[in-house]
Amino acid sequence: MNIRKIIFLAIFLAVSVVYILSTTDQVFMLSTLHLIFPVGAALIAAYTSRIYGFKSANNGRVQLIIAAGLVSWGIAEVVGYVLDNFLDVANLIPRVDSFFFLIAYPILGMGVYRGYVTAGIKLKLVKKSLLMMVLSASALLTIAVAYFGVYKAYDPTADILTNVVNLGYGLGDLILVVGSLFAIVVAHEYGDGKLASFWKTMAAGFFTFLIGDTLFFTMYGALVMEGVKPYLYVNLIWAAAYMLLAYAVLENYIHILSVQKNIKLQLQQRK
Amino acid sequence: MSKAPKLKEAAVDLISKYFGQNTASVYDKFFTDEPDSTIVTSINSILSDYIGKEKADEEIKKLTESLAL
Repeated sequence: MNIRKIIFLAIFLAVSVVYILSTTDQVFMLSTLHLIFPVGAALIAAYTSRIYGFKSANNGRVQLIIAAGLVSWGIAEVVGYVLDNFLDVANLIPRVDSFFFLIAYPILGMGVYRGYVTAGIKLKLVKKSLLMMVLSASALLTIAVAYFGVYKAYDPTADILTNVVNLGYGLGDLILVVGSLFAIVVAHEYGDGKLASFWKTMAAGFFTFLIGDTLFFTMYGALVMEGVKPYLYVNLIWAAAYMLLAYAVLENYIHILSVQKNIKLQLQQRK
Repeated sequence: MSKAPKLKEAAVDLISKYFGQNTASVYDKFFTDEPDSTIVTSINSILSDYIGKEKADEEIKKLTESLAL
C-alpha cells in the first residue's frame, strides 16, 4: 500500500471518528470538515488538467472534462455550505448549489464517454462475460435509480420547480450509473496500466456516490439534513466517494508529473 | 532512407494522445536526432506503464504499420 493511500485512509478514518463522536449541536463543524473531500478532489483534478495542458486532445481533454465536473461539485458543496450555515435560505428551492450539482452529472458523463472514445474500444473484442456483467448491472441499477430517483422523486403536491430539481438528481444518477459502467469497460481496455487504475477508482467513486444519493433522495434526506444519527452517516458515504475520486486524479497527476520530470532530467543530462 | 522524422512526429502524437501536449512537447525535444530504435523503445516503455502492455503494443503496431517501418 503506498503512502498516499495510507494518508487518504487516515484522513477518512479521522473524519469518521469525528462524525461518530459528534453531537447534534456540532453540525456546523461537521459540514466544515466535509468540505475537505470535494474541494480536495476539485483542486487536484484542476491541477491534473493543467499538467496535461489545457489545450490537449484525447486523454488530456478527458481529464479536463472530468476536472470541470469535479470542480462543479466542489463549487456546489462550498455554495451549499455557505447557504446552510451563513445565509438564512437553507430551504429555498431552487438552490444555487443545485445548479452546480446537477450540471456536473452530464459533464462527468461526457468525460467518461470521451474516455471510452479515446480508448478506441471495439465492443466485438470486449470479453462477453465482462459485457454481460456490465449490461446486467446497468439494467438493474437503471431500474433501481429510475424507480427511486425519478418515479418516487416526483411529488404531485410540490411545485414544478421542486419536481424539476428532484427529477434532475434522479436523471443525474442515471447518467452516473451508465458512466460508472462505461468506466469499468475503459479500465478493462488498459489492462494493468496506470490508466486502468484511474478508471477503476473513478468507477468506485461514482458507485459510492450513487449509494449516497440513493439513500439521501429516496429515504433519509430530511434526517440527514437535520444531523440525526445514524442517517447523518450518509455524509460519510459521499465523503468516501469524493475521496475515491480525489485519489484517482491524484495518482494520475503524480504519474504524469513523474513522466515529465524523468524526461526533462534525461534532456538536462544530455546537455 | 530514414523514416525518423515521420516516426518522431507520429511518436510525439501518440504521447500527446495519452499524456497531453505538455509531455509531448518535452518528448519532441528529446527525440531530436534519436535513432528509430530509441524512439520506439522509449514510447513502448512509457505507454506500457500507463495504458498496459497489450494496448501499448497495439498502438505501436498501428504506428509502425502506418509508417510502413
